[in-house]
Amino acid sequence: MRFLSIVLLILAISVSCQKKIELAAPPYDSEIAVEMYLEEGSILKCLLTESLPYTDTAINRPLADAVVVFSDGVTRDTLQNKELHDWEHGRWYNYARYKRFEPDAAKTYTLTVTDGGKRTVSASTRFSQPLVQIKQLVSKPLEQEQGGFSVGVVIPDPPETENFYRLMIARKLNDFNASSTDVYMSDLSFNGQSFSVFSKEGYAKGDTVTVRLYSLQKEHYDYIQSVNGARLSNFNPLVQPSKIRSNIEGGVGIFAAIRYDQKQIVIR
Amino acid sequence: MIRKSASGASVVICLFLMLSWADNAFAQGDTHSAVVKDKFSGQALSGATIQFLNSRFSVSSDSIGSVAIPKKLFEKEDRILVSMIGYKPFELTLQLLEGVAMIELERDAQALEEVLVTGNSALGKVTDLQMGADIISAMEAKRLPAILGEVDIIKILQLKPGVKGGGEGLSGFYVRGGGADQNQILLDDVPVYNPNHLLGLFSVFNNDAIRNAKLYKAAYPAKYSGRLSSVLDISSRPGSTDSLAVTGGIGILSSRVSVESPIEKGKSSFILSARRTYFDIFTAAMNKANRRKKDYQPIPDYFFDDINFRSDWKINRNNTLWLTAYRGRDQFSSDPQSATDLSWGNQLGSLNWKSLLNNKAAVTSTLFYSGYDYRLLNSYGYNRLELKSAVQTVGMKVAASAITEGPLRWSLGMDGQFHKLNIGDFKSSSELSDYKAGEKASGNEWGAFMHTEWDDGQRLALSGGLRVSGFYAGRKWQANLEPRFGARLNMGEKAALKASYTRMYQYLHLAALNSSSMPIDMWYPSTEKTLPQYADQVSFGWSESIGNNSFYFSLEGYYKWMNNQIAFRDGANIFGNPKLENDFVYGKGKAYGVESYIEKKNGRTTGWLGYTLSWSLRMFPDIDNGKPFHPRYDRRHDLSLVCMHKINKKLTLSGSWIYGSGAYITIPVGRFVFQDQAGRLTRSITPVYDQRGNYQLAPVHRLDLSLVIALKSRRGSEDITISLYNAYSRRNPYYISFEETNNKEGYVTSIEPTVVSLFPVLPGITYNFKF
Repeated sequence: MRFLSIVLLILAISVSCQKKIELAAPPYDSEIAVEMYLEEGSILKCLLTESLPYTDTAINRPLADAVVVFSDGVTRDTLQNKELHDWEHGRWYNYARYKRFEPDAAKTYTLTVTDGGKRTVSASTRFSQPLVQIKQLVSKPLEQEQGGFSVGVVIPDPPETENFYRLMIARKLNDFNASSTDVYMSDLSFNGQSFSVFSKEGYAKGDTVTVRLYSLQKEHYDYIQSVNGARLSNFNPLVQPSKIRSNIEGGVGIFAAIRYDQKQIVIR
Repeated sequence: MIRKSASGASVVICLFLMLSWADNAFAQGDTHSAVVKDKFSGQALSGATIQFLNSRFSVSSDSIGSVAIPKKLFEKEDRILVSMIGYKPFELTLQLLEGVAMIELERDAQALEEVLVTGNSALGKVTDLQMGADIISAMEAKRLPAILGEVDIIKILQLKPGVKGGGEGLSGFYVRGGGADQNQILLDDVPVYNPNHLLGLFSVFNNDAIRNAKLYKAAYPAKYSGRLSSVLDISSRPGSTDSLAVTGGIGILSSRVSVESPIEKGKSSFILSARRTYFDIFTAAMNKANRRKKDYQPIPDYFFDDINFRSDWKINRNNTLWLTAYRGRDQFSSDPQSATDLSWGNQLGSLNWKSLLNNKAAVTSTLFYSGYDYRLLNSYGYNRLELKSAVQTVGMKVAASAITEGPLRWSLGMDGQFHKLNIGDFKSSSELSDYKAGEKASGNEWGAFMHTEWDDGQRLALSGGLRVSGFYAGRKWQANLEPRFGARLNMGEKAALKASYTRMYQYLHLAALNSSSMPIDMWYPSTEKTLPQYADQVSFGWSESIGNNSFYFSLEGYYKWMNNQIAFRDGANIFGNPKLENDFVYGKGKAYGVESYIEKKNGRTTGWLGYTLSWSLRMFPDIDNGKPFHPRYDRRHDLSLVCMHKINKKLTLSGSWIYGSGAYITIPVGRFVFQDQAGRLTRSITPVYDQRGNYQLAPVHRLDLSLVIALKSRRGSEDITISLYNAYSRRNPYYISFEETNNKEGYVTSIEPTVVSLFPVLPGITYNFKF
């Protein structure tokens, strides 16, 4: 839908002009922004920043003076304010605890953050989503790109549950580009059926391509959708601006349990 | 709400009973029928007034030009005056009228150029019981400024108080605080689901194919229903029964042509009108010229075309048949790389039969079809997505109106419609798998009405009507009453107070992506969960004829309550959703305001000034916790000044200037960093939105000019129309964009708001002809 509205907008914008203005924006109180993902075998890490009024001239700074407590209902871990790089995905976090995380589907995990200003935010999550496996990978020559091959992925959607997916196809997951495939889907319109997606990017013979299929929690899917919607509506008057649907109580961001199936294919 | 069941058979029986009753009820005397025609072209003229100069009786010719006059009136000595805008008045005696079946009016070239928008005189509008209505003819529309030279009757109606456009780049029109989907748009009594071409820059109504348009903002006669906020009743033009004629225009971006001819002279005729834009020819040439440039983004191909057809056949003195058809299509194609095609359009058809029932009542029966659909195709590599949506309606309307000489006038009728809806039909396919999703629905909508007016020409006149309407879907009947009341109290000879109350029900909802209408919005039927929308409106007004009937002044206030409004919840799954209403939220709306209007009706300079002060609000418990918000089209102040001046016999200059408060939009209030767990790393910030409609854009104002140069023509008429849209190139705000500045690491360091405007000054030139 959003893609379509952009298409419709192209004609209008082709004759448009722009002029800078002074904007009297509505008032806004800054919030704590949280980003933390729980993943099997990964260490506990969290990115804490502070949101700002939209047209503020400052940079969104990392939050340095917070107390970050993670709990699995039995034990409590306090994450330290230290920089941590996730080299696999090319990410950076500012709170961490070097403890390998082992998920338990029966447990509810909670996160509590209190900053120097005594603001407190909290969130909880569970590994409740079923893990859906990639059924088939194929490669086919691309008509539009001589010598290029598209990678196709077949995914069997289980009918008994409501499922949300994120599919990524790239040579390397820490070297994503604009042509790499990164799509989000809800099974609302294909529940119980197999569906397939082909990569937009073409790969050469001999390339090793990684395909990762995330099984997302509903709140994680809603959050990502709302973030994409909010970013897009910032330059498109034809869509209703999207509010951020966050599971962080008292703040903004996401605290999510990550599950995925990953396979590779060598283009031949 | 009344719930009951009925069968199709009982509806048909009811219909016959009503018509039998009507036959008896009206069998009080005999009538004389005649047809009013254009002497030059032989075209039937609708809206001509036959006025009995001694008595207070007057009657107007209908859409096929016919009038029926009670023979009782012929018993007294009287003279009658036949008049119509753009024609020389014609006076004759009753005895003369009794012997003729056709009244021919001669065109008045002088009057054509002097007379402005309304067919009624100032005094006629004051004494008219109807309030909140505007009528404009295609002939009059041609005299007013048009964007890129393309005359558009909907754009001209937007210059009237209480009617607002969506703004540049946004389609739809908005009446008294209602949404774009809340306008009942009828072409020859057939509903039109999407009246827009090209994001509303043009309407689907080809000015050469239509006769006039009447817009009701309040006090809707009981025969109308189905939408909450207005009725736009457009009549198509019958072809000439006298001679072959070709009409057309050649413009910068579009051309049009109409051919009309008698089939059997004096008895039957047809008219075929077509037009097409040729943006695509220019854009294709530009794309070809720039195809070698590395960073060149091809401009998508776009065009629209439409065809109107009408054929009339006068079977005998009492029976006339006419057939109408319309087909229009917008086609949008992107470059082959991204392979996106979008097309949308309406298809309409109707068969109409008008009969004088025992010469006491006129009965019009209409069998019609109306469809709207869009289709979006997108393919990249092996992925192919197809999205379709359609609404199709088959219906029948029967309406009878009495021909009486007394102060009491009646009309009654009934109608039924069957709707078939294909809501967001989504198909995804590749070589490995495919799936389909979406929702299909159907519903039966019906109504029966009776409307009465009592006007003896004295101080008080009253109208009252009742419509019983219903909808059947999902094994449930929903039936509702729609009362209508109107009153006029003469305050002296030249002024009147008017008041009205109306209730309207709407059984089909437009699931809109935004508060602006878009071609990919979807129609959705009422269900047990999604209840019919309804609105109550009260209006009060003062009308006055000033200065020897040269000026007409009106002041109207209104308050409207709207219930069962729908909107999408945040994050709704819109396409391929098997149950779209699960993503609806429901709420209420209210709108109120005051409209003032003064019109100069005579002389070489004519025009009007309209000003509206209004409010429109929506309240949804699931949006902003029920806090009222402003829809985009809520405009506090709205002013329009329209002026036409006949310089000499050859030149007519016209101009319109509009001013409106800025539209309400939603802008972000905060921002935060979201890096995501994986995927392409962008350090773009994420905006945070709070309440809808939290920012008002700068006011909009614009001057449009038009100069019509009449050319010497041996065989008909020719002119060149030069137009300037946005003459002083005001950059009216369309929306606000935010430009980010990033530091070396890619983080956003500042955000600068910029206002985006669409159209600068746009000149247009069109050569128009009629042979």
